[in-house]
Amino acid sequence: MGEAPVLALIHRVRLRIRLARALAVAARLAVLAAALFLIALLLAKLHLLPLRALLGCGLLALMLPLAGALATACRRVASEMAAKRIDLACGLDDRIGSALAFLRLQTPDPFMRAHIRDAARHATGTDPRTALPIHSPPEMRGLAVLVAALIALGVLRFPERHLRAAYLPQASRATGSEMEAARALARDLEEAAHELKDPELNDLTKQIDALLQKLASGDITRKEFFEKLAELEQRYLAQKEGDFEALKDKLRKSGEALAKEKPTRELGQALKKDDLDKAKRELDQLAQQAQQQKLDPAARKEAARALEQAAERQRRLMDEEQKKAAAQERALAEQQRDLEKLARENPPKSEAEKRRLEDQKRELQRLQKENRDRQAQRQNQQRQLQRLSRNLADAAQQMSQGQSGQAAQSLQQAAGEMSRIAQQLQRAGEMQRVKVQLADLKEALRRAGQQGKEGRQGKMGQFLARAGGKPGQGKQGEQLFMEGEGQPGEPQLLLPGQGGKSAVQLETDQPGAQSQGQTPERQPGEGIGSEHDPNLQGAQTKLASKKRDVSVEGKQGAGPTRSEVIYGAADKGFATRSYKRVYTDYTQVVEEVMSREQVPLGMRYFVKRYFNLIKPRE
Amino acid sequence: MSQMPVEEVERSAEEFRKDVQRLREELAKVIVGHDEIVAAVVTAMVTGGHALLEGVPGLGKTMLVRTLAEALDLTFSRIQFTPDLMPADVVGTNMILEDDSGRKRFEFQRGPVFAHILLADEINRATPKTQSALLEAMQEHAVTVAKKTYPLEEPFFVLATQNPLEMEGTYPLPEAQLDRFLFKLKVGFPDRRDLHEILDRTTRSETPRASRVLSRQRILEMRELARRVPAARPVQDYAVRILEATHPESPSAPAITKRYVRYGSSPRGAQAILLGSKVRALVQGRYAVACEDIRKLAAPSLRHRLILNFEGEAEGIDPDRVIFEILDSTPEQV
Repeated sequence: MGEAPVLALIHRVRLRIRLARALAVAARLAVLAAALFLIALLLAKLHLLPLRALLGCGLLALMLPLAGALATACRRVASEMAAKRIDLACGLDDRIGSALAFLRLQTPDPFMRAHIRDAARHATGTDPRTALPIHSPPEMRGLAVLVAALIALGVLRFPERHLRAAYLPQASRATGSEMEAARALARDLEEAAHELKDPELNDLTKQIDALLQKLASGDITRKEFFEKLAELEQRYLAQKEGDFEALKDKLRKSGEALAKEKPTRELGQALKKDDLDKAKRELDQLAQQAQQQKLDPAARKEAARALEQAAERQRRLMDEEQKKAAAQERALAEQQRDLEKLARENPPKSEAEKRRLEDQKRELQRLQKENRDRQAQRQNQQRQLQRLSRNLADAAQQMSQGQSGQAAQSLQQAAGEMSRIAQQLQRAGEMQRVKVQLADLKEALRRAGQQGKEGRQGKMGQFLARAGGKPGQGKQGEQLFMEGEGQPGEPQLLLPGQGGKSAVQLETDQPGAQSQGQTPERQPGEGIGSEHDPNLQGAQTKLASKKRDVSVEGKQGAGPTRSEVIYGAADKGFATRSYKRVYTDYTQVVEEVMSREQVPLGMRYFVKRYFNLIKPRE
Repeated sequence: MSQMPVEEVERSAEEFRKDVQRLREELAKVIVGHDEIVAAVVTAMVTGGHALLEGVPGLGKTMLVRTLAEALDLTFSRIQFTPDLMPADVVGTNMILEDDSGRKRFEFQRGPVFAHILLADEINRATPKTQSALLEAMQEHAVTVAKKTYPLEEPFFVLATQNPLEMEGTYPLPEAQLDRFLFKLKVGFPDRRDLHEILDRTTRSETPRASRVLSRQRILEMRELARRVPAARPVQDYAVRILEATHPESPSAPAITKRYVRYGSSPRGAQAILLGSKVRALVQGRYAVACEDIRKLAAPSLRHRLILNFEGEAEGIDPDRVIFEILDSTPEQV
């Protein structure tokens, strides 16, 4: 029997020693890693550690024991040590160790060879597991406790107030990635401009890019940026949006006239349903019938009457609108005069009054400018409607005179005009997408800019105060949109009492309660006195200010545009009805998307929390 | 022997083990208990060393030696050491003898030392001069009288006894002489079961006697075989490190050595350990020395070679305690 069993046994035990050492080291490091991960998880639960860092910690905690075990397993184990382990564990009285020593001699004597043979006999019947049993490391108990703690902490839900307090700093953290997100949104906008082949939108994106660069380089402040962005957006949307509801309304009313007669009934129905494409087709068909003289005289007569009535109704509506616009212009001019007169007769005394007056002037100028823009836009629509009306009137006249060919030509022109109006309305729908992208861009920039000097808690406190419509830091009353009043998108300024004194002045000019019981000729005497002050109740409050009753008529319309509502909500809070409508629309879309898409739970939380923060305040 | 095949080695070792076993069985017929003492005495005898038995009277020390001589086909002498014992009483003397023609001549009359097994009973009662007479015989296996040296026949095996209690009128053995003993064995009091056995055996009409089981030649062969048992370097290193640890100036010495030991064991201590371990290995059926053998034989080999300092003596430190602590603090593998 050779030395092979001895060497094989030693080899197997060496492997087991490496394994046992690796397990022991892995267990120790696993305890350490679990403890560290427990701390990291706790910090993450308290939102003091970002999720990415927690994942990094988890990966590290996983790798640490593995790396330790691997490094330990790679360490060399001396054969002598393995042999000694075998001898001690199996009670072999140094048979294996001595045999190993004798094997390393060049010429072992017969006794040594006999010993090696004896050791080989014993090695054959020796199980390495007996020689080196691998037990569970003692650290496993501690590890189990830590793992249990990790699981418990993992399923534990911290109270909301903890979450809220912990989340606040993170929510207001401004990072470069948010600026990058804003730039990405700007690029999306550029792509949309390219797709829509809209040169004005292309110009807008270039200007936004320039603004972003200025903001990044610090040439303009964040406030200036938002002001300029709002200005650009307003200018762009004023050109594009227009008061298409008014246009549709006029077309609907002319459609009612057309629907009364049989030959033009389908055309009228299409206009009533705002289906301008179908209306165009019906006009084309009517023109074709006129051209081919398929209309009998009675039908021609009916069609001519209907077209005449429709044209007449359109003209009448346009006249009414012009009158209203002129009246608005006059009202604004009158308001301006009143304001100037108020300032002239009662010049502001305090700084607050001056500031308030200036704010009112600015607001008035803004309203006038908006009115002018709206007039310009309305004129464009009116020109289109006038052309349509004229074509319809011509067609009616030519049809009644039996000039079928010319009538057909006029109807084809009317169909072309109808087609242009339809395209315009379609583009207005596409503008909604642009508006959403602009809103996203502003939101991203607002998040990037929420790193204020006053600390994040203070910012969030201001936000919550403003969200509820409460004053943040003294800008109350500068602007006030009156929902549901005026034309769509037409705010109206609330003026103070026009009696030559402001409300503040009224209070300060009245001695009233302040002078009660303090007549200058009477000096306070000694003792408690025998009668009460004759001027016990003070003078009667004088309401001598000039006042004027203003009757404000509620008007139907879409109210302020969405951009105005959102912009106003960001500045003035979430306590308006129009904002509530916007919010409802947005949340419905978000709910649909979140139920449809695979949104990670952590992200769902952020989305929901965001909408919770911006929900309308009662 | 160096050309001996492995099978021959195995056979010789097996015979060795059986012979020792038979010898121990024969001794066990007479000697009750004291297995370790018997094993150590046999080991010392096989290795060619001498043993010092320490114990109170009546524990069977003399009986052990006598029975050993009976079991072996060897001559046996006993010397009762007394203060007036003279060296000549031990080694012998030249006497004037007159022959038939009337001529006178000196003739050496051999003393009791001329035996294979010598029992030096109560060796510490003789004067150092007489004790020294035994010194040369133990070390040189020869006796010199009147400038003439007389070799002692092998095997020569001295078993000395001493009483640890009676110190009055005794002459403690000097360190040099103690070092000549391979082992110092402490004979303890038998337990109750052994006492019953002793009484049963010694109070009956027939006294058990041992038969001769080993010849002189066989003993010499066994001694030769035992010396060929190898010790792997790590095992031998263990013995060396134990020996080093008995010296208080050694870095590996434990605290007890540094505190209570004045001088550690001589190299003879390691020799004794290793020789005894070789015999033990063969008896245990092994062909090489193990650390367990070293541990088992450390105490009998070293206890009489440690010289305690004043503090150790004053506090009554047992050298065995020092040795056990050395064994505890010395790892088998570096």
